[in-house]
Amino acid sequence: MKRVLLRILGPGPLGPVLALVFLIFLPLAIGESWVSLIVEMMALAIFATSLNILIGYGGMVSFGHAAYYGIGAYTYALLLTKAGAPFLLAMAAAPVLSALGALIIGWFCVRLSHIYFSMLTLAFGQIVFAVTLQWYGFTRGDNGITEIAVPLLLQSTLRFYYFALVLTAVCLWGMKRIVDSPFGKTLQALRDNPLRTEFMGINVRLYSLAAFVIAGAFAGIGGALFAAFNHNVFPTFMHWGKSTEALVVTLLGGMFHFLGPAVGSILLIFLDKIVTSYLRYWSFVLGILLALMVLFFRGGFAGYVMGRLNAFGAKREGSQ
Amino acid sequence: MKKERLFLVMGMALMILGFVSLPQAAEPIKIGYVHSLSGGGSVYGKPCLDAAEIAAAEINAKGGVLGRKIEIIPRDDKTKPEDGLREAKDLVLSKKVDYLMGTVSSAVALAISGFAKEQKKIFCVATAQSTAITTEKGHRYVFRISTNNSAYCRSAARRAAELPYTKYYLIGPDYEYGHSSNKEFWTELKRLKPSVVLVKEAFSPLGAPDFKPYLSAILASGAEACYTSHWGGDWIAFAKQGKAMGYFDKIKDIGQDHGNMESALALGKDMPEGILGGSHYPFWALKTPKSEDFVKKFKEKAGMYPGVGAAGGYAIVYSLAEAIAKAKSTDTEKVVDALETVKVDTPVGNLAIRKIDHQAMWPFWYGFTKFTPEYPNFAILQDVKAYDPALVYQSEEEIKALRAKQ
Amino acid sequence: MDFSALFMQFLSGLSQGMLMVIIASGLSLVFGTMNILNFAHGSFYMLGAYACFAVVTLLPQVTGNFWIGLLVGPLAVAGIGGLIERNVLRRVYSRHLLDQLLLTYAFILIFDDVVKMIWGIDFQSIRMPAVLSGKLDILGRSLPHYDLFLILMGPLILAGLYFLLQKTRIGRVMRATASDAEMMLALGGNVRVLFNRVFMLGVWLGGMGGALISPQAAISPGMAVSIIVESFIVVVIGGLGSFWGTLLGAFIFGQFNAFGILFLPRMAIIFPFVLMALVLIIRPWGLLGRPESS
Repeated sequence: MKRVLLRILGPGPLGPVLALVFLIFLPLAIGESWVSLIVEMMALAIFATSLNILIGYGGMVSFGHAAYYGIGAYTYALLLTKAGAPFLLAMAAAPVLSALGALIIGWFCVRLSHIYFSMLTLAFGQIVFAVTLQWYGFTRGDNGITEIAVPLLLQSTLRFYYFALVLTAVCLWGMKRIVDSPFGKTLQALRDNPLRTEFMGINVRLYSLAAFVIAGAFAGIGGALFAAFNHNVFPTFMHWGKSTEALVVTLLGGMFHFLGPAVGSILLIFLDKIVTSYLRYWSFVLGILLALMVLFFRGGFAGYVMGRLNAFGAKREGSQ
Repeated sequence: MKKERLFLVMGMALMILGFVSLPQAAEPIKIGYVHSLSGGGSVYGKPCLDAAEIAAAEINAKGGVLGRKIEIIPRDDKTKPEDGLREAKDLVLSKKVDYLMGTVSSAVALAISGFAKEQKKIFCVATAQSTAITTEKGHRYVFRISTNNSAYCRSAARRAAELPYTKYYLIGPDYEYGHSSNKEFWTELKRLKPSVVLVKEAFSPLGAPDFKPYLSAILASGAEACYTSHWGGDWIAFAKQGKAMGYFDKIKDIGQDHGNMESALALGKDMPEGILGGSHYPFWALKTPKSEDFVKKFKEKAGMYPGVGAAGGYAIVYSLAEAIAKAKSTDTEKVVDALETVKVDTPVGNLAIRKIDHQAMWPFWYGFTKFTPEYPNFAILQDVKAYDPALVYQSEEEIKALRAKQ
Repeated sequence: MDFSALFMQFLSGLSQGMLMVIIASGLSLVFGTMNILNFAHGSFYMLGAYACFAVVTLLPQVTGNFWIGLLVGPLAVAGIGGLIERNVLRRVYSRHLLDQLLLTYAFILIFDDVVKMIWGIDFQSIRMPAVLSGKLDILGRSLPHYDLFLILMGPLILAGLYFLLQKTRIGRVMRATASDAEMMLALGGNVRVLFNRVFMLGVWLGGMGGALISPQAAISPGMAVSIIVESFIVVVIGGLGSFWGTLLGAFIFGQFNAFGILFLPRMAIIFPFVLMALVLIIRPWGLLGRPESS
């Protein structure tokens, strides 16, 4: 059993392909309510994986990543409702504008490091939130933009699910290619030893900014997807609470594995649903879970599973 | 190692627990209740649920509606629209509730309302006050059985017009509610009494505890009266700090939250006397048999007097029950038609629901705060007066104009 | 806008600023000595308010119960902080910044619900202590005695801290550890115990802030969140870990708020963040911080 799991979860396309097949047939077995939940998990997975490009691969802890998620969501919403733009155009524009936002904000942020970087991303994130909240004329403030219509083709939960599945698969595949590319490798080198990387002639700031912008673009797609699914956007999409949600999810799933944040998204939403049906104190449960993960399961759920499997694999090899 | 094992086992147990579903009785009429158990609105969400449960218990004791019992399924929206929508979806798609009710936050209400429209499910709004819910964003399936923003702002304006002050300051929390409340109040006051002058307007961040700079700015501005749309924790902080500064002796303060139990109980003896405050449900003045009965039951269940949330929760359950009985069916379309024509007997009196915006003609009272021997721990409003709902809710022409702009 | 009005605005900004000094110096102290940014500092502030409230409600008939609450409450909260440091926080000292932030964030979540479990979700309130309920008449306007008390408490507590850091042995040890913990360890200093005491002191300061504001505001579970971002802004402006920086940052913050409301009320929400961003862009280590603390 463990042997099979090791083959599936190890490097190579077998695992993701199997997961995709599983997800294609899953809606046949579960109810609409669960399908809806999985779409939410997918949007969160895109968002959190994009954050992990910064945190896990780049070593940059951003506290304001939700700003780009929100910019993507509002771009989609505003283009659709105010400009009457076609659906696909609005969806395509989302990552463009959030990348732009990330470029402007990132230009300032990447000149700092560590705690100062984090604080500045927080400050900018809150500025974006506050502007969105207050600019009633444009964004309708905290009443949000609701009843955003999607094309007839995507109006049923099931059809939207498949749309989201394709979009998520494409985004995750795209991000994986980026982190596996020379750019991605350089980024990791930068995370591990910035001084050395700089000595080798790499423009640290440029690489950091590029990572920031890429992460922002994908976050924007996640935001637009969520807005499209929910048929609404609210300023809360940009609040630092949303940023920390992505951080929590990345930790839960594991920041050292590419699919860690995706796993974490599934876990968090699943647990939220279960716990709030029975308990009133979801914050408490999440807090305890988070503390346990930080203290004992540093690699997150994925890290734990992979660790056990790899240990098994090594043992088997050794015994032969 | 051991800790990790334990953790894993706990995790699996939780997940298995999740898949075990409780046996569903096909009989009861299910109302999904989405409210705030955490986040800023939680103080209003719980009393609303308590009151709804009291109403359901009373109705069930008399045999239910059409021979079926009413069951209320509560969920927490964490005062966030995404979470509220998720819960509403689960309630409708998975728990198969017949009707939805709830929310304190207008943002959550709007999110759920959009969903209710798509799903053709009735959604009764209890506490969320933004007029947009029933006007610009109103539709066939959303009802509000509570007051709305324009009702209390215009009532305040009418009462203020009777007072001798002409120089006004406006202050409120910096989000849609604060902005639209101030605007509604001022537009109506200016219309009724053109001689009034707006000295200045200010907004404070929601939840920030320090109002001293604002209070001293108001005191220095030369205003005679101030309209405050602050509520809850903001109003409590404002009141305490203002009282310490002698603000209420110099400025006539007017606000819709001043008479609500949730804040009045917390303020207790710190409430300034003689300020003009509003209340959705002034039980101390109404004293009808129905109201007294409700107050007694609510106190027993919740341990406090009923406030903003409570009367609404109670009225919604009764409204739905009456509409179902009148329609002789739980079918949504029939119940919608019935709701438009029933007159429900609520603790605030007989209520009709207006057809154009599905807004109940719930009156809103204003009076001056006073401590009385009957209620030793908190201030009530004296000399309460409500105006004809037709005067304080937006007119049909206004609503049509707002909807046309959409 | 006459002089007395401007002066009152200055005083109200000052009282807000001096309260922030107490709260923010707790955050700054812990960061300066232990290199930990305690995200949960706001929760200890909230716990301080609730602890004071608990004492007042447990002793309803005792006169001066607020003062007892002020004395006992923050100490109790500091005790809790000490336990947390010893058993939980200690494990992540050598780890990545993210671990520390997420762990302290976990505590925000936990305390939010713990407070609800014990005291419920309703707003709570404490009455102003009788001896400070009056007001002072200055230039025709009223300054509440309690505000004056806050204006004095800030510098008083800060002076106490200064004395502790500069004149006592333990203070010298704290400062030495702040600049070079490894060396302290090598010299045989008991860094572990020191870290614990410093953390408790930081928590005490946060809790004291909460207890001090409790007669003037509503006590509710949401208190933690609103204060933590403000504290961050103050310490960033002044300089993380800088003693005088915290005082300057808090003062600027208080005045900015007070006068921002008068002259640019629409921008009031954004101002603090813009200020924070400007400082971080132009001079990241704050107005009075040291450049090497990064």
